[in-house]
Amino acid sequence: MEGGRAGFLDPATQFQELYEREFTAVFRTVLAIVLEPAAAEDLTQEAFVRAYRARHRYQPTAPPGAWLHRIAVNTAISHLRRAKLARALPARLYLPPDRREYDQAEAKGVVELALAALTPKLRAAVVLHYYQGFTRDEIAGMLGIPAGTVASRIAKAMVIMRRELAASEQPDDLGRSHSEGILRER
Amino acid sequence: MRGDPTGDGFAVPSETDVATRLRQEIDTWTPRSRPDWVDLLARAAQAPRDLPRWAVYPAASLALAAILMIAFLVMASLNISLGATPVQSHLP
Repeated sequence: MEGGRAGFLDPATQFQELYEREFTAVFRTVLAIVLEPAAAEDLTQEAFVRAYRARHRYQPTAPPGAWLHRIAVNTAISHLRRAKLARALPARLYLPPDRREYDQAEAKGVVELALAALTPKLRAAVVLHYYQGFTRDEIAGMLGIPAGTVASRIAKAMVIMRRELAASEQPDDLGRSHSEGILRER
Repeated sequence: MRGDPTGDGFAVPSETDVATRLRQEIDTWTPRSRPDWVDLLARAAQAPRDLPRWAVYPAASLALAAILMIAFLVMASLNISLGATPVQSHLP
């Protein structure tokens, strides 16, 4: 849970140190949103490239970690949006590189399955709050939305995740069919 | 740390339990590759794929104008008017 809480590194002059320190934290945030390890690695690098290009425009109103996470979340959500749009195009115009659904990423663990039941924006709010430890106000600043919206997204995500986790832990087929039913409906 | 069972008979985990499990799960996620500074510099040196900020509004305006012009031409060719179609009534 690095989240930009450690010693301050100025992106303009210490970007390489910042990159090496925050790489894993940013990767985990991106992976929690896209739920595809290979795409997450590429998007993490892409996010750092965007941050590097913008390093001289960094304003120290937020910690560098929060600034990096904002760029990473935007990069991840843009990627999912492009992937969704690409699938909407006729196959003749565009052949998608990946056949996975927009927010039905292949889930392996129980927690990943619960994350997969959320929309990308809900996943972003959850990982930034519960994993990276950002407050609702910090997340609001990062995502450019009101703090109340962040709170409602977190609450909604928690309701869905609790239900998914409960359903996935049922010993009989009830839980599994419940989760699969939710995924099929999406 | 379990919440109360729901009416469906599901033992719903508490918020704290979900948050703990989320943290434990995400802590195990490690990128296969290490940070590659040389690759980052190489990618950063390439021209950005995105439109520059100053070009976004002119490009959007041009696209909108093109869409409106095409719609106008199509409607003109099909004789579709923007106003309400007059009611054909036959008075005795």
